[in-house]
Amino acid sequence: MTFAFYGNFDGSIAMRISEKWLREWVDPSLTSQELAESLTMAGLEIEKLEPADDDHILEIGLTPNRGDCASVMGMARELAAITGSPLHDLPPIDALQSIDERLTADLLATEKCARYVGCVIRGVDNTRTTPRWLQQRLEKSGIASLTPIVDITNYVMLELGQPLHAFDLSCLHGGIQVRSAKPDETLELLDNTVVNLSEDDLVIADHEKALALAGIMGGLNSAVSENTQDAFLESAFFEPVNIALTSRRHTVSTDSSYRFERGVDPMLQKSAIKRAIQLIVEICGGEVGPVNETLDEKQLPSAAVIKLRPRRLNKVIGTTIEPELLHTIFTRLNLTVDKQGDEHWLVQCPSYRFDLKIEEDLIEEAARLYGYNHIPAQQLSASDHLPLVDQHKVDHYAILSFFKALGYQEVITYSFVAEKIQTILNPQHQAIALSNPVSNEMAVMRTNLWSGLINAALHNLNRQVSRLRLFELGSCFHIGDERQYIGGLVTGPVYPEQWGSDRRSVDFFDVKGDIQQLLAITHRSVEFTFEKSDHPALHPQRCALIRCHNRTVGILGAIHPYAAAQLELPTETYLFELQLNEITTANKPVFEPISRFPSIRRDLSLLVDQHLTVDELISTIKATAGDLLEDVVIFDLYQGKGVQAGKKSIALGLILQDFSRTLTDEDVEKILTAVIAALKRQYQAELRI
Amino acid sequence: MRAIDQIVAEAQGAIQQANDVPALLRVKAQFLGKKSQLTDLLSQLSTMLPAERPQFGQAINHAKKQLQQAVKAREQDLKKQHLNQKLAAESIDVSLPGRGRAMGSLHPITSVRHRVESIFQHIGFTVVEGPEIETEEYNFNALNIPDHHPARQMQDTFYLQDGRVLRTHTSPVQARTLEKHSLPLRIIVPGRTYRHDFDVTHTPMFHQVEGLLVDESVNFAQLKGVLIEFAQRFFQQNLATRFRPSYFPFTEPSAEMDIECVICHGEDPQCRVCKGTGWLEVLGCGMVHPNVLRYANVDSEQYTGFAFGIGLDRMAMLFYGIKDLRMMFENDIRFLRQF
Repeated sequence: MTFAFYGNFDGSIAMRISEKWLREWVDPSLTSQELAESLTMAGLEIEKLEPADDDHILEIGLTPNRGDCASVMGMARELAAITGSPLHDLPPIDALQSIDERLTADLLATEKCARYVGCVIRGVDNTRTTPRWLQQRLEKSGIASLTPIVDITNYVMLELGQPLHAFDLSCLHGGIQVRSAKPDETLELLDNTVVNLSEDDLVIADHEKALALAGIMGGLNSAVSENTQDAFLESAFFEPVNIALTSRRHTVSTDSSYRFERGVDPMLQKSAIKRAIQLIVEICGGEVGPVNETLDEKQLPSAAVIKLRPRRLNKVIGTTIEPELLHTIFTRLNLTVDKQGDEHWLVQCPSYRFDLKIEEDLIEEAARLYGYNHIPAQQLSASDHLPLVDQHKVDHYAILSFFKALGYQEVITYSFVAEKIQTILNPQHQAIALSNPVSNEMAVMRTNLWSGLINAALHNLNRQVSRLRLFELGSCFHIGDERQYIGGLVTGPVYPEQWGSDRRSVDFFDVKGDIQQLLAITHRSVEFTFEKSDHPALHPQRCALIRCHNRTVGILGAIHPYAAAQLELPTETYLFELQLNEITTANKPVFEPISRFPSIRRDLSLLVDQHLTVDELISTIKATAGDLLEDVVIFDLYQGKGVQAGKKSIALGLILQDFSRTLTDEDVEKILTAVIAALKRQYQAELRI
Repeated sequence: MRAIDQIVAEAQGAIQQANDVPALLRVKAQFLGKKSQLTDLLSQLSTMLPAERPQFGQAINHAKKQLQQAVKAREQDLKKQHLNQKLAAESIDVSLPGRGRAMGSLHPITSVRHRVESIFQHIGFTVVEGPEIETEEYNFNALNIPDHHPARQMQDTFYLQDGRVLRTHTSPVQARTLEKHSLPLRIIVPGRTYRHDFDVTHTPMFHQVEGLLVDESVNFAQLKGVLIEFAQRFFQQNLATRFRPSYFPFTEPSAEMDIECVICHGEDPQCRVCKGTGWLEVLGCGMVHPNVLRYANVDSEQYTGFAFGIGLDRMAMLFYGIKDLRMMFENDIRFLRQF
């Protein structure tokens, strides 16, 4: 969830307002700290309380559902509800109209704009200076002061939450049209960017062309300036989803779009424009036309009426909130309760609470005002069933701990890597590319774990570390296939530098030994074989596939000198990888009786072709010797001086045992003779004395 | 009789003076052998009066026994001395380091993940995993995050060319598991998650543990109970906690849980970890939104549930006192081997 508060996923964006301004609206007897705390604990997190002269700036992290709080009035309403202190609304605004000029507005896409309120104001003096108090309030909210008219529209937006827009009337030709943009239409915005519009975009236009990207940003050509004498003021309701999509499409985000996409009170437009007109006349003078409203009432969102069951409310929260208290809480939130008996209430929401839609929303409101911290913590009852402890499952942590015990360091590397390294390591596999990677170094999903392990190794090798044993457990990604692997990288001396062992570089069989020990965890080691193979990134003579029932489940090998050179790795670097699910199923061991009779060992020293594998040799021995063969050990291997070229000398110990009796020399000789004969016949093996 | 006593005394002296086993054997032969004085005396028995014989014979036998025991005791002494001398020469410096491999290490995020899993497994939660490449359907729509949702816009999502995404949270596994498994259900879902965000406090890959419990009569008070206990068990401290209302599309009511700062316990106004607030945000949680249950065909009247999400990387940082998030994925050996 992000849940996990990571980044901004909860969608919170900080809004800053002056505490003094807020207190003009509602003034609970709380210190600044207490005020901040009470808002935070009601879900309006005060992220910062910043002293500013004789005031504080409240920095509020608004969650995306609470667009209604994106203003001083909105925060004041909330604070009044939380504290029970009275809310002081603005005094009623007297009639402002002095001329009878209006601009008609045609709403041509009422599903996107259902209410459009406009007003003509002539003869304003926009060269005047915005009063200091107003400038300061804007500054405290992080908004720069421009001309008085623009400042006033911003001020009213901060105060009431209604974004407004002012046009220079002299730039408008004919009436207003609120319409979808035409294909190929362009518009130069206030920030000098030119946007290519599409039919999905809603624009404010006159009878000639688009003037503004509706609800998001005005156009440069029709903007008010110091020289503006006649203005047209707009206060509209724009549908949130459309604003969100347009804002995203053009990657333009403004204070206005921020509010519209979270939802502005659809009943706010007239009072907001009157407030702005009042301030404009006060500050810039001017003659005011009628407040002209165009409306498609059917398209306006209607405030929800929600069925609430007080009993369910208490059941979901785990409380026993009395109906009277519940009623008080709802009344404070301007929710009107119509009781249809004790079990069934109809709750009417105010027009600005479009986030309230279902019973659960009201449950949260009640819990929130009741106080989450007043809800008693309850013990969870035990689960009805004991957990399954699968006797065939190898726990991941057993595997991880195994590597830890063998001296490996676990790394966690990014799942996306540079395409370049992926191509060197796994040229035969197409990696899945990200459309929007962070960088070229993190552009494709890894197809094996080696890329990350190598990056980790390089990081350390560049820091005077020469001995590395690294492993990682994680997913790898192929088209249509995502699965978990465990992989490793080993380089440098086999042991850490020490007094008691000879210094020797790690080799293939050190790493193979580690893997074989790991496979033993499954109690079915015999099912796994190592078969010589090749891989583009590995040494052609030192690479083995790990196979299980004719499936390839892993690979092990020394890095190819060519790849090592490209990656700047030591040539004696070993890499391995195993599919995790192939080793997480274990056989349950079943007890086997132990023979009471002694075992007998016979050693054989053989001269065989150098390419004959030990696997072949042993399988012949096993097939020939039969059930009495308990084990075969290889105790010497030699090639070189004294051994014919193309041959190798191999010494084996055969351990024989019977369950029902002590084997006689005769028994043993018979088996041995048969084994030697078979080896001679199949592999031309010679017995060395 | 006097003669016997004298022989015994002489022999005892010789036994004690024998300094090694061969010398002792020579002494033994001298005093107890066929040509010894005692054997001679024994052969004189026949020359004695029958009445005197038993007493004399007994005296000789007693003397022999005495000497045999003395030889045996001396032999053991000598062997012991010899062994002790030999052992003294085998002295080693036990302070020298042991031979062989060094211990490896587990990544701190793995250890913390294990710790979180263990705690929840003890109250009946099962660990479940899900794919990291996820459809938009499961990552967003199933979690009540429609296309135009502000939360979706703000979430910087990694997209693949086929329109799928790298999951931005472990929450999609909620829907996947609810669809497949019967109720009641208690799961936790640990795993890697991805967001397009890379700076001092964000890495484009991070780790979460999602929790989900769905049953009849699950309530918010129980959610609080479980999470408070979890925080206290995890940090093994009796930490204060608080719940703040918050907003997540997939829960209603939603909350964030803060714990008392594990570094300064609210006593350091300059604390860099809690920024002097005394509180640390550690997880988001809430009652599962009915739309999420409905998406998975669960009757939201009969069943309720709670869910929570914990940022593992941050938990690891708090648990081990790691100050820089970016160290987590640099994989410097000097960092890794500390854990």
